[in-house]
Amino acid sequence: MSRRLLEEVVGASLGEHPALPEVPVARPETIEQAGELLRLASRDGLGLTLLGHGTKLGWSLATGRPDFALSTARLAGVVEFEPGDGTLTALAGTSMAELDRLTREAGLALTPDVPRPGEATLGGTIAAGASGADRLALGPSRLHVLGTRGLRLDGEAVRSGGKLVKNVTGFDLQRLYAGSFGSLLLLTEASLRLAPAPEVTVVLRADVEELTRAVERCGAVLEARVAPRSVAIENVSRPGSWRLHVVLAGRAPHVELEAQRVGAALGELDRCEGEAGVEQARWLRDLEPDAREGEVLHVGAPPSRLKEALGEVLDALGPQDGLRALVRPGLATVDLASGPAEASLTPERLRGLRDALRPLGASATLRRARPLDPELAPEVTDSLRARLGQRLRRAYDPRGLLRTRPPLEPLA
Amino acid sequence: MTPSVARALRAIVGDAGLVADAARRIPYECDGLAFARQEPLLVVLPASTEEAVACMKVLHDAGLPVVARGAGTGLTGGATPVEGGVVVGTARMRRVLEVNARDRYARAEAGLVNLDLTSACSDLGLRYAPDPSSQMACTIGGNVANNSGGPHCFKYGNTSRHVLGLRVVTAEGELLDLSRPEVDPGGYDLVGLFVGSEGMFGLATEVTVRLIPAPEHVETILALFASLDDACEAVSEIIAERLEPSALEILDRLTIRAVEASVFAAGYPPEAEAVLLIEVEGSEPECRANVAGIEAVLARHGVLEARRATSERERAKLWAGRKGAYGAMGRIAPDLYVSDVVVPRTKLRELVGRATEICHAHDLKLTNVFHAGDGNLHPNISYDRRDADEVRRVLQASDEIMEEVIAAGGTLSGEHGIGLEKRDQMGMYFSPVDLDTMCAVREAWDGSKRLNPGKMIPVRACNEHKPPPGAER
Repeated sequence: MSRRLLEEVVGASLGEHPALPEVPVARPETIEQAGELLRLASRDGLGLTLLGHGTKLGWSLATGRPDFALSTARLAGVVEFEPGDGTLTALAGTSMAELDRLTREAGLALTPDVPRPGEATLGGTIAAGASGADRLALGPSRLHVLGTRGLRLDGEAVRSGGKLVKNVTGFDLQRLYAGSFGSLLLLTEASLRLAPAPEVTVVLRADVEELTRAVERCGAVLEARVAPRSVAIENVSRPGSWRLHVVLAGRAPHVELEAQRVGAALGELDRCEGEAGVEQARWLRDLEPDAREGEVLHVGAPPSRLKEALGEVLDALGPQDGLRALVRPGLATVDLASGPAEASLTPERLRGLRDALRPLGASATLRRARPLDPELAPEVTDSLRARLGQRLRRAYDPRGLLRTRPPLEPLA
Repeated sequence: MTPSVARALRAIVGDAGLVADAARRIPYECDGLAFARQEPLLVVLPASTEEAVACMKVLHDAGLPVVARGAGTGLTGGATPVEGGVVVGTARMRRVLEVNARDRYARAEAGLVNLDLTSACSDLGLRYAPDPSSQMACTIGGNVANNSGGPHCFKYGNTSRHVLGLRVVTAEGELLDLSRPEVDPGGYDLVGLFVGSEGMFGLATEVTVRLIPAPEHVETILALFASLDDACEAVSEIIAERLEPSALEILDRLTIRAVEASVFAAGYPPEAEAVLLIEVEGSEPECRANVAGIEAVLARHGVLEARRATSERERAKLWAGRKGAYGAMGRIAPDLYVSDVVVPRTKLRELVGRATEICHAHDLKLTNVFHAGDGNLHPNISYDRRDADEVRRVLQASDEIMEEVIAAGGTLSGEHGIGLEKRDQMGMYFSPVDLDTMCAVREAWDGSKRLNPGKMIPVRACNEHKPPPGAER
């Protein structure tokens, strides 16, 4: 598709994106324009990449160079917000920060509580399957997507699920779309289940010298009959030593009881509460290393195997002086750009790490500023799961026009 | 063809696993949607995933339609056999395979009864949250197929929020192993997609579920109201005030009377027009704060009396009345049509009123027992399936209720699924493109379309599946 043709559809809103150098990025202002672009791409057999603000494009796997990209950044706005129903529906390009503000004003909490919400769109968050700091308490983001509207490659609008908190009408295709990285359709609208806003937020902190010891103490918190909003171990704010943060949120008397229990499990702790506690929880949320600033390794493991999984990661990385990481129960993000040059992961080392993690029930995914080269996320084509993934992709994109897909096909 | 298929299946599952004679096949002719019946060609009951794989290969080679069945407690005809098809039941696959207290998950075979899963982990202080009213009989596999709910799903969500992994046998008899609980699934979320697929994607033989800690403290409140409207309005305000109960259930007067006249008698006062059963779970101070807030809301809405259960025995009795309500309705008429629709929670009172008017206009006996907290209404119509005219009026009323619900921004099903019952109403909610997309996804799983054909997706072309007798409207 020529640049001129794109401009005819979207006018002056044609631009570029740092993650897709030299690729024209169309930012339609209406769903009709977006449909027209998809129809043109289908008609002419053009490759395209779908994005919101593109902050998580580098989490996906590239399947080829796109002829153009289609961003939902200008398809923004709240469609329906009914606090009494505890649900919210918005267009895909709406900023997560705007939704967060709106819901907080109504005494509700937006979930997922993603890092740097001002840079994230609703559609991009869902397409990337991105969860937030509240994942421990409320679960991964895919559980909160009640329904979606989107555009197929033929430009036809397609709906799944709905706007209500309970609904089993039809297949749960929104679960397929969450984490599909723009490989199936263009998400244009989504409905989310909201959580009650906590009455109080208290953050407890302890400094711990060793990462392994910090992981053990994190385990002790989870065994202490508490349900924290989040738990995080980080050395981002204190390079050279680790700090454990426990975020408690909910009804005031309950949070006080939980704080006592955490204190009994861990000993004396720093305590941050009131507005400062809320601010501290937000600061902690935003500590998640950003792949746009360099490579980030994302590790998932059963909580009981996290210590061993981290051991394998550190072995694979070699020297770690200055390496920064954020570790949550079952999840760790390691900022590879922060360590010495030797800490980078070659495709061979990444494969070796995955082999070592597999017996632990753990996995590792690389995130970068730009869509990943397939070599870093090989597709296991001989597994039934991978074949099924291919068939699903073909059901939506029979000609293989969409140029991104989820980063890690499952291990055979 | 049948004798050779039967021989091949018998060689896999033995005599105990094959139901071939006509009399023993009768119980498999329907599920809880009693007026839709079809005799299955055969019923096969594998005792393991390996046997299920072998059986599905035989059925694939024979090109026979397959309908999966758990306990047959579904209410939408999802397990109704199809003409010339084979029922594959999970009744002999009932083992708990693993309980991992540290990472809080359990693996179980699909035929395990829902309540038995919670029993298996209660000693560890854990439980499985979804609790359908039929939890003493329904199976985990059936819950997965229908994305089942239950009273406590108000707080904890339907089955799909609790399923972490699956082992699925495909239409071709291949084993898709998604059983490892993953923090973030690599590739597509096939587990999330599978839950609620009503037996059309594959046969789930093993399920990995999330376990949650048993509550430290529970308060159960029985609130009596002089009108159903008052009870509905109290529910809307409890939700708006974010007082976070774990369950909010309403029973109307006719239901109360049926329960109190039955073996499930729970001490509900028969003079009340509506009972609101409220449960609050959490730490003791959390419960105390929420109960105080709830009691204030109840008072504002003219509650006649609000009783708190003072013992575990009393609490269990209150819930036995709620969960036994459907059984108790056998006192009203021989058959019960349990509708299942969801309305915006802010429109609860309005839609309950409309459902009542519609049933009265059709001269039908309506009782209401529903998950008020989720806006999940169950207008229950008592009828006699031998009375063809009454069956017709039941279905007509059900259609009209669905039309009202959709017009008010509601949806066709909250926890029972679509099956045969609401298949032809899917067009009220979804566009042809939406339905085409669902068909395409289904074909990605089952290219032969032999798994539970004729369910959920409306018949829109002459070569699509013919519904079984009794299912046509």
